[in-house]
Amino acid sequence: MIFNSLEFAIFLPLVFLVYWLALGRMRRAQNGFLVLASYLFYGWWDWRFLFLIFASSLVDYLVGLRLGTTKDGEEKQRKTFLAISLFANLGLLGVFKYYNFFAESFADGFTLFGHRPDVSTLSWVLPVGISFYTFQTLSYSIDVYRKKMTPVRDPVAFFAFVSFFPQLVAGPIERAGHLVPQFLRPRTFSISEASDGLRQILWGLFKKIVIADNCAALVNEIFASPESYPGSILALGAVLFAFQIYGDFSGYSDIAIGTARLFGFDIKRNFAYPYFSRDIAEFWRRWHISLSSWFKDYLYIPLGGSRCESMWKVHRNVWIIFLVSGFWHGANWTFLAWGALHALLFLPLLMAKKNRTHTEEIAEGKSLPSLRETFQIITTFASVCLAWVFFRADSPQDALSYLWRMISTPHQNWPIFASYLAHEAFEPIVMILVLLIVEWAQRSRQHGLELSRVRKRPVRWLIYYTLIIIIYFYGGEQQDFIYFQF
Amino acid sequence: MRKFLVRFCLFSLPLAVIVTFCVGYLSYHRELYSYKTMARKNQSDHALIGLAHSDPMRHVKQEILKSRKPDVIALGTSRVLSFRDFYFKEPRTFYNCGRSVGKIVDLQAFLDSYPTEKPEVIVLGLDQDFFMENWDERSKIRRNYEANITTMGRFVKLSKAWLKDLTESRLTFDGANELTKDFIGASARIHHEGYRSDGSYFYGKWIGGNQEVDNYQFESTLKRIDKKSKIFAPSSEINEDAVSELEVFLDLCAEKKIHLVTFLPPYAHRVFARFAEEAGEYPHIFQLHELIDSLFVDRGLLLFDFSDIASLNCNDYETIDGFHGSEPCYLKIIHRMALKDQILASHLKLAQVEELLKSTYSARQIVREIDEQGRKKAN
Repeated sequence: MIFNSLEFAIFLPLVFLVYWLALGRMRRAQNGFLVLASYLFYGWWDWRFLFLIFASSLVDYLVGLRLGTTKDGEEKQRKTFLAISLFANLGLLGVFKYYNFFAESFADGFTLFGHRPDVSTLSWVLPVGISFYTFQTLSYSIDVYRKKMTPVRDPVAFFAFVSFFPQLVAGPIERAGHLVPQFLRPRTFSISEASDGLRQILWGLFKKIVIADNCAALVNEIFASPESYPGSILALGAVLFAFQIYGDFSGYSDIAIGTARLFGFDIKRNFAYPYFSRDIAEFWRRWHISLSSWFKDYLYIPLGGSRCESMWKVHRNVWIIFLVSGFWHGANWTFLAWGALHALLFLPLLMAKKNRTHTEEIAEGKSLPSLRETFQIITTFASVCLAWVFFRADSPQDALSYLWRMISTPHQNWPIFASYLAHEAFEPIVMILVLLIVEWAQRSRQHGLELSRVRKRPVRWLIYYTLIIIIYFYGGEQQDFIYFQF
Repeated sequence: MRKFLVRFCLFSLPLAVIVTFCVGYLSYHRELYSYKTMARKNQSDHALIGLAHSDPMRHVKQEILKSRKPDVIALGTSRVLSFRDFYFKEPRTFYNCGRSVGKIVDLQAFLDSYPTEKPEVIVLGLDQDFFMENWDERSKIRRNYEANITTMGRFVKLSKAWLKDLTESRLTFDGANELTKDFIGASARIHHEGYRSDGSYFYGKWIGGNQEVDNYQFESTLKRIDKKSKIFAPSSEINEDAVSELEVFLDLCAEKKIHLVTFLPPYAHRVFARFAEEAGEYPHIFQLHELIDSLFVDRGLLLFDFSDIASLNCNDYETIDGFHGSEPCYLKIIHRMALKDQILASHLKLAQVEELLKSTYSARQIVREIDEQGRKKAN
C-alpha cells in the first residue's frame, strides 16, 4: 500500500478512528492493533513478505531477550547472540538484494580471463523496504548488546516497533532507544500534534505529487535518450532529478512522520533542507539523516572515525562509510560510484578540518543569504547534481557518457533550451521555485508547512486549500516512490 | 479528539461534496468500471463502450485480446475502426485493434507486448502522417500497453476531465430511460456511440443523425489544414527514421510469421484535393506509396493506396468526416484488398461483403441493422 493511493486514503482514517476511539486507553491493545494494521499495510504488496518481517522481528526479539539474560563475563555468549542477529538480518539482505549482483559480477570478472562461468541467479522479487526494517532491528540488537538499552520483554510492543507502518518501507530508520519506549508508555491524543501531523502530510504530498512526479516525467525522457538532447538540457535533467529524488524521498519522510504523529509517536527528522547546504559535509548532516547517523554510530565510529591517529585509517574509514552507504541503496556499480564521488568531495573538507564549519543555521536571522553563502550553496548543489547522475543512470558507463555529452556537446542550441524550458519544463520549474521559497522561509522549522506563526484559522485554511488545489491540478502522473526499491 | 474530528470534517466538507457528486455522476454513467470489467461486459454482454471522460481503450483491448485470441486483427489509428467482425467467416476470429497505435514506433511496441499468441494476419492502416518529417517531435516514446495506472491515478484523471466538463456545462443525466446492460460510459448511454465487442467503433451520433453540423463539407478538417495543425501540417520530406521503423516492423512480422495486408487510409476527396493544391508540401501523402511500396513488394506483401477516397469509387457522402471513411468505404477497402490477397480472402465471408456492398441505399444503417439482428438473436 503506498501513501498516495486510494487504499491508503481509506486505510488511514479507519485505523486512526479505531486506534483512538475504540482503543484509546488500552496501550497494549493499541500496540496489537498497530501490528495488525502494519502487517495489512505491508502484506498489501505481497503477503509472502510478511514471513520475512516476522522472522526478522522474531530473531531480534529472542536475541534481545537472551542478551538480557547473560551475565558480565559471558562476552563470548553475547557475541554469539549478536552474530545471530547480524547473520539473520544481513543474510536476508544478502540473499534478496545482493546475491545476484555478486554472482553476476563474479562471472563478469572471469570474462577477463576469456571465460564466463555459468552462475545461477535468483529471480525473487526484492521485498519492499527490506533495507529499512533490517537496519532498524539491527540497531536494537546492537544497542542491547552494547547495554545502551534494556531488552524489550513485551513481544507485541517489539513487533509493533519493527513493523510500525508509517516508517516501515522507506524510513526514517528509527533507533530502538528512541522509538521502543514510546510503545511502552501510554499515549494521549494531542490536537496540536495531530493537526501539525496533517500539515506535514499535506506538505509531503505536495513534494511527492507536484515536485517529484512532475520532474520524473521529464527526467525519464531525458535519461532514456540523452543522445537526443543538447548539453544544456542534460544539465537541466540532472537538476530536475535532484529535485525529483528530494521531493520523492523527503516527501515520503514527511508523510511518514506526519502519520506517526497522528498516532501519538515522535519520529526523528530525516531531511533538514539539504539543498541549502554550504558544503558536502553539511549536506550529509541534512540528507537522509537517519541513515547517515546509523552508519556513523554503528560503522564509522566503531572503526575509529576521524580520530584515528593514522591518516591512512581516517581515509579508509571515510571511503568505507561512503561506499557502504552507496551500496546500501542498491546492488549496482552506479551506487558505488555515487558513494565514491561523495567520498572524494568530502575528503578535502576533512583533511582541511573544515567538515564541521557549517553547523549553524544558514543566514540565521536574515531573510536572504550573503553572496558568499549563495555561491557556496550553488557549488554544493552542483556537486550533488553531478553525483546524482551516477545514481540515476543504468550503469557507470551511461553516467559517464551522459556527463561527457553534457559538457562536450555545443551549448549553442540555446533556442532549443529556451523552448524546452518554456514548454516542457515550465510548470515543474515554477513548482520547484515555490518549494524553494517556502522551504527557505521555513528553514528554521521542522517542515515546510509548520504554521505556528499563522494565528488566524481562515488564513491557515486558505493555505491548505490552495495547496490541495495545486496538488490536484498540477500533480504529475503517479510514480512509485524511488526509495521503495532500496 | 472530538474537537479535532469536528474541525477536520468541517474542513473536508466542501471537498467531500464535490467528490461525492463526481463519483455519483461517473458511477451513474458506468465510467468507473475497471478495465477488466469493461472487457468482460463488452465481450459477454456485447456492452458498447463509449466513455466520455477518459480513453483507456488500448488497455481494455489488451484485456480483450487475452480472452479472444483472434486470428486476424485490424491495426492502426481511428482510421481502421470501421472494419467489422461480420465481414469474416468466423466473426470471433477477428478483432479490431484500432486506436491502439498513434505513431510509427508504436507498431513494434504493440507487437512486443501482444498479450497472447500472435495473430495470423494483420490488416494494417498506415496513416500518412506517421511519415511526416517531424513525427518524432510529438514523442519518440513508445506506447506502454500495460495498464499501470492506480485506481487513485485513474480517478484523479477522470475527475479532472469531469470537472472540465462541469465548468463547460457539458454534464448531462440524459439517457436515463435507455439504460440497459448494453452500455458502458456516458457517450454509449446518451449517443449510442462507442466500441463494439469486435473492437470496431459504432458511430452512433452520426448514424442517429445527431451529429452537430460543425463539419459541413469538411469545413473543420479544411480549417485544420489551413492552420497546418498537427497531423495536417506540411512536411518538407518523408522522414527516413519513420521508414526505417517501418522496415523493422515488417521484418518483425516476417519473423513471427504474421501476414500483413497494408493500406494507406482514405481522405475525403475534397480534403485530398486541398492537399493536392500544394502537393509538394505533402510528400508523405503524395510520394509515400512510391517510396515504400518496394519494402512490401520485396517481402511478398501488398500495399494499397486509398489516400483519395475517390480511388475506391466512393463519394464524399460516404465519409464520417474529412479523414474517416464510412461503412461502404471500408467494405470497399476490405473487398479490394481481398480480391488481391488470397490469405485475407480465405478468412472473409466475401459473399456477405459483396451483398452488403450492393445495399448502398442504407450505407449508414448497415451496422445498426446487423447489431439489432444480433441482439434479437441473443435475446
